[in-house]
Amino acid sequence: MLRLLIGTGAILMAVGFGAAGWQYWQSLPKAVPVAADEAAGADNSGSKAATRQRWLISPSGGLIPQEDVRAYLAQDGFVASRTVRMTMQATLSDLLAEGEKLPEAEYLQVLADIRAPRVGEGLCAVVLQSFAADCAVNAARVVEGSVDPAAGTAQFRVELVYRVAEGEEELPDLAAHVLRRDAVDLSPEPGAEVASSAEAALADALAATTAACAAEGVGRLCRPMRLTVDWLPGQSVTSRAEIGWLDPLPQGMFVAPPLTSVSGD
Amino acid sequence: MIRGPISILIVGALSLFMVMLVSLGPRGFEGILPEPVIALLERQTFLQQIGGAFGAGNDTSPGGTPADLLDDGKDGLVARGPIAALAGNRPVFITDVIDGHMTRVSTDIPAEIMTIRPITGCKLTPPLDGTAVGHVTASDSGLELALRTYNDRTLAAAVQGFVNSYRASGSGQVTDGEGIAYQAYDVAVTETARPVYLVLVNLRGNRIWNIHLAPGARVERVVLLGGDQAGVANLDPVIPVEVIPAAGLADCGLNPAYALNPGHRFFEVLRDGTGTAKAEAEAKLVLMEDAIAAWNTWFRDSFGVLADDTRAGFDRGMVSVVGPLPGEADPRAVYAPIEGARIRMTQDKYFEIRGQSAKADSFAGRVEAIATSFAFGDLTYLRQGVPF
Repeated sequence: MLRLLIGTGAILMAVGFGAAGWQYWQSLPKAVPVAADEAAGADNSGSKAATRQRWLISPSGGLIPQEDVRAYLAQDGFVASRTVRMTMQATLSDLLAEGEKLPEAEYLQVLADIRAPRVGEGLCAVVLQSFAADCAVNAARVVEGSVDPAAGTAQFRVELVYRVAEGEEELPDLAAHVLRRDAVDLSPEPGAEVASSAEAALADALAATTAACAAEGVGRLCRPMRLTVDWLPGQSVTSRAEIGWLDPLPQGMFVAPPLTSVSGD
Repeated sequence: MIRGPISILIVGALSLFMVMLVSLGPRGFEGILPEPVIALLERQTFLQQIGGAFGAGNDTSPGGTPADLLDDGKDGLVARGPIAALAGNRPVFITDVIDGHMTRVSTDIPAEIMTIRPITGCKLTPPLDGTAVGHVTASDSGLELALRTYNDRTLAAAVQGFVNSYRASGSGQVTDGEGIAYQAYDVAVTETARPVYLVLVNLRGNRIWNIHLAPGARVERVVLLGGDQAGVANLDPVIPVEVIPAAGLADCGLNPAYALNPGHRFFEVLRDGTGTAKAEAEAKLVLMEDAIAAWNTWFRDSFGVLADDTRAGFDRGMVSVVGPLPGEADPRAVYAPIEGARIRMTQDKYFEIRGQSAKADSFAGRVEAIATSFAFGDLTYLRQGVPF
C-alpha cells in the first residue's frame, strides 16, 4: 500500500513538474538569427529604403502610427490599412449566373450577402485602370435591411485592398524625411453632374485623388492611402481620400530612431 | 489491500450522485433514471430544502404543498416542480391528477399525423348548453418534441447564420431555427360529470396539446387559439378541432391578454419606479387593463365564461387540469404518450420529424443546399479576406 502511494505521488509529481517545465520552455522568447531576421525584412519590403527603415516621423516630430506607415511604404503586397471602401447600390440580377433566376423574396438578403464579392470585382477593374498595380476584394457584404424586392436592388459595402504601382522614382532616405498626410474631400461640387454608376463614381474619385496628389503644396512620392466612396443612384456622391507624401525634414529637426523595435510589423 | 480503494470509490460515487441530485435536481437524471423514480425524488421535501439552501437545482422552496412549488416571480407564475394548474391557477401535484405522467417526449414519434387548417373568419362554434368549458393557457413548457415546422423566412435566417459561421471559422454550422420545434403541453381532463369544451390558448411558438382523459371524460369540441402552428394529440378523431393562430386572432382584432401575477416585475416598476419609467408603466397599465377587459368580453361572448376566472396555466409549467381535483377514490386522468399517438395539426410550409427525414429534406440539409447553391456550388466562395 505504501509503495502504491509513493509510486502514485511520484507519477503525479513527474506529470506536474513536467507540465510546468514545458509551459516555461514554451514561454521563452524564440531566438531567431539576426541574418534570418534581416532576410525576412528584405522579403517584406520592396524597396531598399523600406528595408532600411520601417518607421516614419510626422512633421511635428512624432512617430507615425504603424498602420499608416504600412499603408504608405509596404507596396510589395496588400496591407489591411490601405483600402478603398465603397458603399453602393447594385441590381440583384447582376449577381446571378447565366440562366439563374432570383429566388423568393425571403432569400434575397442572404443571396445578396453571399454574392456581394461579385459587386466588388467590377470595382477592382476600375482601380487597376488608375494608380493601382494590383487590387483584390477583401470584404463585401450587403447592407442589412437594404434589399428592395420590388426594385430588385440592394446596397453593398465593399472593401478593396490595392497596392500602388511603383514609379521610377526610388524612395529617398526616409530618416531625412517626414510623412505628411492629408484628408481630402473629393465630393463633387453641388450641382455637378451625378455619376451614372458606381464604377463611374469610383473612377471620378480616383481621378480626383490623383489630382489631389498632383496639387500644389504636395511633396514627393504622393500615394493614396485610403479612399471611401458612397454612391446611390440619383444622389450626389460622397467621397474622401487620405493621401501621404514625403517632405524633407524641417530645418532644425534631427531624427533619433526609436529605441524600441517598432511593433506590429 | 484492495478493499480500501474500492470502498473509497463506492463512497465517492455515492457522494457524487448526491451532490448532482441536490445541485441539478431530479430532472438532471432524465434519461438515466426511470420516470417514476424521478417523480418520487421530486416529491422529497428534504431534497427541495437542501437544494434551496445551496441555491441551485430547481430553485424549489422548502415545504411540502403544491403552492410551495409555485413561484410568484418577476417573470410570471413559474412551476418550480411537478405541479399542474387547476382553473384559477390553483396548483396541484401532477401525480394527483395524472397517472404515469412523463416528461421524456423529445424522441417520441407519433403514429399518425393529419394536417388541418385554421378556420376562415373569426366566428367559432359555441359550446352546447350544459357543457363545461375548460380554458387552458400555455407558454414555455420545456417539452420540446421531435416535430418541427418552418418556412422560407426561417430557412433564410438559418442560411445567413451558416454563412456567418463559415466566414468566421471556415466550416459552417447549421443552428436550428428558433422555435421551429413544437412544444408539448399536457391537458388532464378530470371532468366526468359533463362533456367538456376545451379552449386551449397558446402564448408562444408551435404547440401540440396532449390530451389525457380520466375514465368517463368526454370532449365535445377543441378550440386552439394563438401561437404559430398548433395541433392536438390523443384526441378521438370524431371530435371537431377549430384553430385560429395568433396571426388570425390579430386579423380579427383579438389579442389574448391576462392579468399579470402580483410578483411580476411590472408591478415593481409601477410601485418603486420614478419619473419616466413610472409614467410609462402607468400608461401601460391602462392599456393592459383595456386589453384584458376586451379579451374577457370576447371570451365570454364566445364561450360563456370569463377568461380570467377560468384560466388554468402558469407562465412556465407543463400540465393544466380541466375539471376538479380527483379525490382519493376518484380515477385520475391517464397519461397518453406522444409516442404512437394520433395527431391533428396545422403546419408551416415545411414539416419534418427530427431524425426521420433524409438529409436533403431535413432543416440542416436544406440550409446547406441553399447556401451551396447561392455560393455557385462551392462553399469556399463564402470565405472572404485577403491574406496579408
